[in-house]
Amino acid sequence: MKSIVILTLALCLIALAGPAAAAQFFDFDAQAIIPATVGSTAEMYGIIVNGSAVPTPLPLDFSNYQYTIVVTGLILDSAGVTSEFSNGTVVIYEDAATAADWTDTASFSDGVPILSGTLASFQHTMLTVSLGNGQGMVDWTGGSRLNDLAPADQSGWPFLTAISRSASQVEPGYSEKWDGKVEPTEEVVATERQSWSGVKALFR
Amino acid sequence: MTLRKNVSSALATAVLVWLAFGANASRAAMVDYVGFGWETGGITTSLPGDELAIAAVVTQIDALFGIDLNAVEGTLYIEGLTSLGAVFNPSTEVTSISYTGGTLSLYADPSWDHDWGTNPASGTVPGTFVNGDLLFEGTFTDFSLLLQASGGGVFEGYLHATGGSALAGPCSDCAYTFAGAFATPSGAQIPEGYDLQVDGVLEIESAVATENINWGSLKNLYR
Repeated sequence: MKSIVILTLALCLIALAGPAAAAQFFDFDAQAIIPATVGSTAEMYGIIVNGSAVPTPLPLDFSNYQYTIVVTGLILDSAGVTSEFSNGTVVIYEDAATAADWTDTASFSDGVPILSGTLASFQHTMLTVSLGNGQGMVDWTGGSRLNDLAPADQSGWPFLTAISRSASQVEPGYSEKWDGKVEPTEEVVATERQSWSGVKALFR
Repeated sequence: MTLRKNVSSALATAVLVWLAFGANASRAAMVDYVGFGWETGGITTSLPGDELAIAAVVTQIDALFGIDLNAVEGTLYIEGLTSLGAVFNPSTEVTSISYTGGTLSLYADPSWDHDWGTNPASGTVPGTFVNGDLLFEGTFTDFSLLLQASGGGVFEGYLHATGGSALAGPCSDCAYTFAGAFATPSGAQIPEGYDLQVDGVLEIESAVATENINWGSLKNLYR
């Protein structure tokens, strides 16, 4: 019982640690391939472009690495002005070797997967002939940086994107440009390493 | 008369070819931005006369601008968009809002001080988004926003370019912007006092490498 109380207090302390940032997200510039028939799968290949402009939920080293985001296996369940997709896989890669190139989708999925997860459902809506948006939720389940996120912070990240079918925005071989982000529901704050005895000592 | 018509037709065709070639030669310059917007009185109850503003930071900018985002921050500010009132379509459950007026300005700022803060306009907005060197500014000729009940939406706007150091000269209908616009029901993080999270693109047709030429000089090219 005493351990549970201490653990609870420790978790509260961790949750309160560190200053809160104004906004955090993985901002991406992407191209998507959308299937024509129900049952087929969509894919998206993007570059994470936060750079120095906007904080990412996890610290990333944009000076030495390129970060890419890839969605695959997103099954088209119903098609229309609003289309429903399901069962996609999302992976964020860190790569210092090969620059992402729209003409080579493999160049987006090399490097180290730092976060991987599922895009269980995704709604794609065209609001004009050429413009729309997409909304889904990502649950992170793997990757080399997964454990940098507290378990409670690993699920339910909104995946939000603008969609353009304008010829000036879509790269050859793709159907749509996606300009969007994956973001936590609330800010991910810094934590501090502390020995168990050190945490207990705080409550003596 | 017939000959004159043919000459005019040939000239018109040549001009179109030149314009098309020229457009390719001076490709559109792209700017990618993310930020937050708010409307006086709130966006979902947009009333005629309400004003929409958006404060954003630049995450990607075309090399044509000659800006290094590791050395300066890029900021973008949209203001003065006056609502004509929200119109709800019950069959699509989409709210559409058209706006008049409005300007967009783009800055390169070495002070790296952008701060959305809360409850704009505030001590930091627009102040920290409109400082630095003015790269581009334009006036909207058309702007509209579409919002779904789910909180997802999109906006687009067309602009006349009026100034800024990246612009060879004023030009009409030569800039365009679109963005995803996400309200609270979408799950987007939105600071207190803002109505929308936005993520979009500004496309400027003649940011650099264009040349103003009068009609007489243009005709001379084909004599």
